[in-house]
Order: sequence, then structure tokens, then C-alpha cells
Amino acid sequence: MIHIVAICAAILGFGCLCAAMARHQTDMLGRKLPSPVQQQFRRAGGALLLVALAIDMAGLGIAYGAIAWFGHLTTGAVMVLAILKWKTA
Amino acid sequence: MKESFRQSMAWLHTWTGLLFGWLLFAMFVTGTAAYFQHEISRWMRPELVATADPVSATQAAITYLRTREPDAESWFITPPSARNPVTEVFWQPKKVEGQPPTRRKREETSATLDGHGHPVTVRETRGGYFLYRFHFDLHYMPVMWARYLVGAAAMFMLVAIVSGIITHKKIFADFFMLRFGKGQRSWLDAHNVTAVFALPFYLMITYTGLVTLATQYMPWGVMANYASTDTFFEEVFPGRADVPRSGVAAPLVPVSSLMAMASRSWGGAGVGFVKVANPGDNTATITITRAADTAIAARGESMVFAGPSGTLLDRHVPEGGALATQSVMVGLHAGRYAGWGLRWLYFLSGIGGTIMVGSGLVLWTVKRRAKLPDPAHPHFGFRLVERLNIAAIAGLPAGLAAYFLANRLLPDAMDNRAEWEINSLFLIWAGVLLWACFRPQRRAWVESLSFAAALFAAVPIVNALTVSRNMLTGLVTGDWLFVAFDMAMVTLSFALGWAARKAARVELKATRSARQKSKELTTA
Repeated sequence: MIHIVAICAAILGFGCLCAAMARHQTDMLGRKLPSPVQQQFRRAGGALLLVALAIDMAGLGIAYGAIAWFGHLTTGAVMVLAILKWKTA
Repeated sequence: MKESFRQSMAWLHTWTGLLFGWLLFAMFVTGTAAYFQHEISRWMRPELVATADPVSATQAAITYLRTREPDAESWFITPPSARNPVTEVFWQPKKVEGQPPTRRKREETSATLDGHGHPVTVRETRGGYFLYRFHFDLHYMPVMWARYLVGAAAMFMLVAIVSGIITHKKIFADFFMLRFGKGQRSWLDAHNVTAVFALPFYLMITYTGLVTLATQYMPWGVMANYASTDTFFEEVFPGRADVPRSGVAAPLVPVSSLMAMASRSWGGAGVGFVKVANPGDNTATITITRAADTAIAARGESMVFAGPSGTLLDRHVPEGGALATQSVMVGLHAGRYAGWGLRWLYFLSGIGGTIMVGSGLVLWTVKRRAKLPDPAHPHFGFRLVERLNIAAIAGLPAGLAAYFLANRLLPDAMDNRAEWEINSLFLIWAGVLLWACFRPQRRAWVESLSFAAALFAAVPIVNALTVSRNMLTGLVTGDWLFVAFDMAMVTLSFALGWAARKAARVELKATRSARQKSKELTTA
């Protein structure tokens, strides 16, 4: 359960980071973002990845959670890439 | 011309990656499979169904060993666990005075028991354990050499990772960059994406892999401070010293209370291993080691009890920062502590590593093909890389599927059955290599990948025809292991089939353009 919640947070986090990148914005959101909003997306993305870490550490223990976090980040990034490819396909 | 730092790193990355790429690919495939070694072993021994209580099973194993091997030097017992339903025992036979210990076959000094201490009749196989051992011991060669070879490959991998990070200019800007259907560009994207997404895992797994065999690769610290490596291990992991038998017989106390006491003192953690030295003698000792699945650090604590009285003689906890660090690193590498969720993450990261190495190998040829003086007739080195790529990337998976098929198809009573399962793996692997050498390169890719896909597709079918447990019965009875295994085989089959289709399209395009060109030449 913790794994799924943390992966969701990681997907949201990487999703925001991806949407903050100029070259992926049209694919992800359908439009270009003004640069202050882009900045906010970037901050939100980073914060969400830290939220995933907090969820992991709270749910699985400090050490175990930290290790699992790396796996969740990988899974989250793969999912966002899959979404991106699906939207552009 | 002065090369830039990044260019020299790119050179280093290319050639270190290529030199050990094929071995690294094999290590990644078998090492990744080893995260499920117990599950693979259970699938390969479908006769074993019932699980047993570890404490009573250990007691029953002791009763069995007392009748079968009363004068053994020592008994070693691995109780059943959540991932392994049987008790595995082996023993060190009595030494005969003045004679060097003879090498015996595995089945003469070991047995597999059920919860009541009866030997189970089960097909002879090395199961997932073979894949685990292969990823650092290889096969058909002395273990020491294999480990040097594997160590060199891991060292080159580390070099390739670091030089790769430097070479990859836009790690963040190109983080989500994956373009399909663009030839070399697509291969580079795939290589980058698989490399970057699980980069912390690759760094960890390569570095900690080297640490697991550090005393072999860097023996000088031990050599400078100890008379022999044995004295070193004796000091780091005490309790190995042999005490001579006194000759006075004394029965062993029941092991259940000792196991319960040990488990309590480890906060409820299970027992991973029980060793009985000098069984039946009044000098007997019982050493109980903590199971590896409850803490990240691999080296578990142990407790030593007197055999006849059951009094606690010694309590061993790994001490010192260096040992603790090593223990955690080995634990991180092997992932024995990992629960199901984390185990799948390890497995998927391992698959990512396999794709990263494989795409890197293919990239080497894709990048160079266009620049060849005569692309239709490449030089020997180029052809060698091409063929070895096919043999590694399509051949090893085919061999793996053959290993599983052999497990179901070889007769139970066959001599050296376990060894022949392994031989099947290498025969098919070598067969694909030969095939790749004698076929046109693009055809060879299509055929080898299709062959591997077909073999994986055959596994669930052959399984359903030969044993009574499969995906359908598993869905009904809740036998999830067999459901998951069949699903994994089907997934691998689809993935390899998809790769074969992609390769076939490329081949079609290449033959069409070649035909076009020759037509133009004849009309001109």
C-alpha cells in the first residue's frame, strides 16, 4: 500500500517536472506555460518527490524507506515517460 | 589535435562498455533472476507443496541426521521459511585419521527434508540457485578465475557508469527524451533513459557487488595483518574452530526452546541457519544464526549454546564500523531483507540494467555501420561484435527458457539430471551463437529473437502438460507462484516477439532499399 501511495506521489512529482520543461509542455498540457508558472511547476515537482520520500520513511522505516524511495522514483519516471509517449502517439 | 575531457570520457565509455558488455549482460540477466531464486527453485520443484513450521521441522531434521549421520563432524540445517517450503540439510562427514578429506558428490552429504524429517522425493535440479551462482561464479571454469573475471567486468562497469555520466551532456534536459523510429538517435535515447532512470541502482549494485568479493580482489590488507586468510575469517566470524570430540556420549537438548530464546532476543526475527558441531558428544555446540530477511545488514547475529545442557556459551554480534558497512553493502546488493514490493523494484531495476547494457551494445554497431567504408561487407571486428551481440541478447534468454523447459522434459531418473538442465542452457546458447555466425546479420536477429520468444511461450504450455500446477489451477487454488511464473514467461515471450518484429521491419526496409539501389544501378 505504501508502495502504491509513494509511486503515485513520484508520478505526480515527475509529471510536474516534465510539465515544467518547455519542450514537453505542449505534449503534457496542450499549451505553453508562462515562465513564472513553469517555475512553480518545477518547485511543486521537487516538493512532491520529497513528499514521496517522507511517505516512504514514515511507512517503511528510515533506512528501508530511503532504499524503496529510489525504486519508487524509477517507477514514477518510467510511468511519466509512458504517459508522455502515449499522449504523443 | 587535443581531445576535450568529455571526448576522452566518451572513448573510455565506448570501449570499457564493449569489452565486458557481453559478460555484464549475462551477469545482469542471471543476477536479476536471482532476486527470485527461491521462487524459481519452487517452480522447478513443483512436487513440493506443503510448508512446515520452522521450529518443529528443525527438530525433525535433527532426528533424521541423528539416525543417518551420527558421527558427522557437524550438521548444517536451513529451516523452511516463507519463501522455501523444505528443510535443507548438509553435513561434514567424519574425518578419517591420516587421510585427506575426500571430495564427495553433493547428494552424498546433503538432503532435502519435509516438515516431519522425511527425505522428499523431488526431481534433481539446482533451480534458481544455479542462476544466482552463475552471476558471479560462471560455469565450466574454476570459481576463482570466474570471480576475477566477474570482478574485472564489475570494475569496468563502474568505469563505464562514471564516464557515461560525464559523456551524457544533458542528463536533466534530456531526462524524458525518447524518440522512436529515428535509428541511431532512438538507440541512444533508449540507452540514456534506461541508464538515467535507475542510475542510483546501477551505482549501488556495481559498487556493492565488488565489495562482496573484496577480500579476494584486495587481499593485501588481510595479508599484511594475518598469518592466513583463515585466521582472518576466524577472527571476524568466530565460532568456526573445531573442538576435538571427547568421546563421551551425551544427548542434545531439544532445539525448540533454544530457537525460541534466540528469536526473542532478536525481537521476533526468525532463525536462518542452525549448525550442530560434534553431535552426540558432550562437547557438542548448537549455533543459531538470525535469518537474513529481517535486517538490511547481511551478516546476522548468532548465538552459541552447549549441546547437552542448552546453556548460552557465546553471543556474536558483528562489531566495528568497517564490518557493519560491509555487511550493509552486501545486504543491499543481495536484497535478502526485501519484502515483495521492494523485491519487485529490485527486479525491475535489474531489467532496466539489462536493457541498458543491451542497448549500449547495439548502439556500438548502429553508430559505426553508416561510417563503414563498405557497409555491405564490414571488417572482421565489426562482424564479431554484431554476432556476439545476437548471441548475448537473444541467445542467453533462449538458453534460460531452455533451462526451464529441460526441468520439465528431462526424465526424473536421469543420471546427472541437474547438470543436464544446466548443459541444456549452454547448448541452446551456443547454438544461437553458431546460428548467428552463419546467417546474414539482420536475418539472424529476427530468427534468434523469434526463437527465444517461442521457447518462452513454450514454457507455460509444456508446464501445463507435464505437471499438475499451472496458471489456471493456480488462479482457482490461489497458487500465486505458478500464476506469476506463467505470466512472467508470457511477458518475456511478448517482449522478445515484439523485438523480433521490430528487427524484421528493419530488415524489410534494408532489403527493399538494397533492391531499389540495384535496380537503379541496372537501369542506369
